[in-house]
Amino acid sequence: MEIYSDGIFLTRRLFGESQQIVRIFSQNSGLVSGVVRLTSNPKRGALYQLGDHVRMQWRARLEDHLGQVTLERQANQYISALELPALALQALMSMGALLQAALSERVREPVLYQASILLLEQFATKNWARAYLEWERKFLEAMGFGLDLAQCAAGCDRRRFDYVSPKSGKAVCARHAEPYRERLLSMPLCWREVDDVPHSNTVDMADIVAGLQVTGHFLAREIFPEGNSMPEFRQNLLEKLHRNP
Amino acid sequence: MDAIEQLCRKLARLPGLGPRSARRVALALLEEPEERLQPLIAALQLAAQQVNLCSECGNLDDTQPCRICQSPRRIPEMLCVIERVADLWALERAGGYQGLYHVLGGTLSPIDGRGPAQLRMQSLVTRVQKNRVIEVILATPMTVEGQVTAQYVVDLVTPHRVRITRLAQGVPMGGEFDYLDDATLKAALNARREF
Repeated sequence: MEIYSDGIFLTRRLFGESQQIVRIFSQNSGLVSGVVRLTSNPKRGALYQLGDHVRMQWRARLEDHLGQVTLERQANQYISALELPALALQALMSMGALLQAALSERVREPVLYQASILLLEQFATKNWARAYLEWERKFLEAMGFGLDLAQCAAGCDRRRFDYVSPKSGKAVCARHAEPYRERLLSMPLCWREVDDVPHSNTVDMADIVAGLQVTGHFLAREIFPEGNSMPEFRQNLLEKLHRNP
Repeated sequence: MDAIEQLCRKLARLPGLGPRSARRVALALLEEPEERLQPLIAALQLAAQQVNLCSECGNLDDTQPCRICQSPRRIPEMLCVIERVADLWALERAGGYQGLYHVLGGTLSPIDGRGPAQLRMQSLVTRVQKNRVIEVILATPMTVEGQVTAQYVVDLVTPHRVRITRLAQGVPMGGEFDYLDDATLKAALNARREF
């Protein structure tokens, strides 16, 4: 059995002395694990890093075997993880950790894959933090817990929302939020887009932190409940953003 | 399990040895016990008794602190942060560095369960304060984990007002462009300097 696909390189772990087990988030088959031989030849995987855009060939006799992987670096590398500034690198690590922790092997996730490629493109720009926040929203959506920020949870027809319900993940307008304000999650300004108020392109880190607190609430509740803790890099990212607004 | 089988199994677990090469080593030892086996046993016992981790830098040596930390010719205000003892040996082989080392014992990797508490991070801060270090050289591996570890070290030592430098990346001695990977070549171009 063979799988050919483009993919995003996630991790490698030493397997014996001369092999590595690598994990790729592939476009066609979702998360794929396999063995590569550890040589100095970069085509065999030794030099690949998190976030590298690769062409993968996976080969095994049966579908549930670990399989041998051959990798080839794609010409259009979106980022070089080693050149990213500290916060962006932390966000990249968080992305990798979330994908690894939550994705199931061989389950195709085309929307999340495209969102991840988009995020990798954005890491080279100043908008990476906003892009990361949007990626977490897509990630929640792909995991089946998407936020519904288009309608008020109370059912009113207002189009301007200030809060997010921590129960339903729906937006809540200021009027209906009043009695429960302390229990609601504050909606970041960048999600409060309405037709008559164009969204600003400038990145406010405090706003990004507010957004990550919303996504973090649902990540912790739905995807990483008790006993299955949130990846450390995701927690570190929020702490670092708090410290370096 | 007989004695020979047990010896072969223990040897096969060493780096660089598989079951077949372990059998060859075992045979070589057992065929000449006086010349090979007994001296090896003595050397292993001596190493087990005397070699330990240096309480200062984390190096392996038979003195406490290690010879590098004790040497008066070393510059204590210069600290090179490395992942493993093997990296220290490599840098010593290369020569040219006269400062002290600090072996972290690994890189940060939550996936493998290695956080700052598992590494020698706190003793690094203590040494920076105690030795009045003026320069910390980051020589962690050029991997994402190495980079994250380096940034963690930067966060730790920045409040102590030290100069933080990092090993250069680029074309190796005798390296030909055609054989270099794209990332290294790009890093070399970015870090070019006046000729």
